[in-house]
Amino acid sequence: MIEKLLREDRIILDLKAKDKEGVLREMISVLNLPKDKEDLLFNSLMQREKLGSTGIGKGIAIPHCRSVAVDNITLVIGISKNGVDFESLDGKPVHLLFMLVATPMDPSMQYLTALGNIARIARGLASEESLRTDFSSPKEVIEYLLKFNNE
Amino acid sequence: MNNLKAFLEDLYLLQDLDLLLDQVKDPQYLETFGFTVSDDKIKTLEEKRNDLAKKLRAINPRWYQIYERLRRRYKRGIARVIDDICTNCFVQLPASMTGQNPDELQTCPSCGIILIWID
Repeated sequence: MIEKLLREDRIILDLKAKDKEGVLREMISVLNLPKDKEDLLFNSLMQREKLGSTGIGKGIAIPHCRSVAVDNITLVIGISKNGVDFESLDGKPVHLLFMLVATPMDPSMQYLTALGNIARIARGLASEESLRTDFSSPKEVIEYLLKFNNE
Repeated sequence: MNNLKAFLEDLYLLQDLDLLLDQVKDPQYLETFGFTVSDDKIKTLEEKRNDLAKKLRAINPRWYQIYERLRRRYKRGIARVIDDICTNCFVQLPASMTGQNPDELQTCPSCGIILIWID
C-alpha cells in the first residue's frame, strides 16, 4: 500500500518553513492544487491539529485529514533539517513529516491502512539512535522509509 | 437560493467537521496510532459543528435535512464529481449534468448524494 503512495515528486528534502502553518502550506504546495482547494486542505489539516498535535514525538509528525480537495489518497513527505515546532507530544522539534490526505469517500479503507503503514515506519524510525535527514535524493528517502515498512 | 456558492462551501466545511469528529471518536484510530485528543477539544469542535449546522438549517432547512439524512445513510452528505462520475456511488452522471447549477443544489440520480463540482 505505502509503496504506491511514495512518489519522488511528493518528497521535499529540505523544508524552508519554520512553523507548523508554514510547513503545512509548503507541503500542500507540491500538490499543485488551485488556491481554493489549497485553502480547503490547509483548513482541514489545521482543524485536525487543533484537536491535538499529530507530532508523535522523536522528531516525527503525521498531519492527516480527509478532504474534498484531493481526487485520490495522497502522501507528501517533508524533511526539515533544522526542525519545526509542531507542538509535539515530547516537545521536541519535528524533522520528518508524513502528510496524508484522503478523499471523504474511502471504500477500501485505504486511509486507515496507509496510516497504519506510516505508524509502523514511524515506530521503526523512532527505534533508531537518531533520525536521518541527510538525503541526497527523493529516491533515497523512499528506499530508507520502505526498509522500516518491510521490517 | 441566494448565494448558493457560500451555502455549498459551508456544507462541505460541515462535512469535513463531521468526518473529523467521526475519526477522533473512533477507538481503533486512537489506539492504533497513539494520537491523543482531549475531550475538551472535541467538545469545542462539536460546538463549532453545531453552530454551523444551525446556520445552514436557518438558511435552507430542506437541504440541511437532506444532508443529515444522507449522512446517516452514507456517513457523508456530499460528494465531488470527477470526470462526470459521482464519487459516492461511482456511477456515470447523465450527459445533462454538466456542472454546478448556480441556482439549485443537485443530487446524484443514482445514490441521491449532494453533488459538487470543484475544478
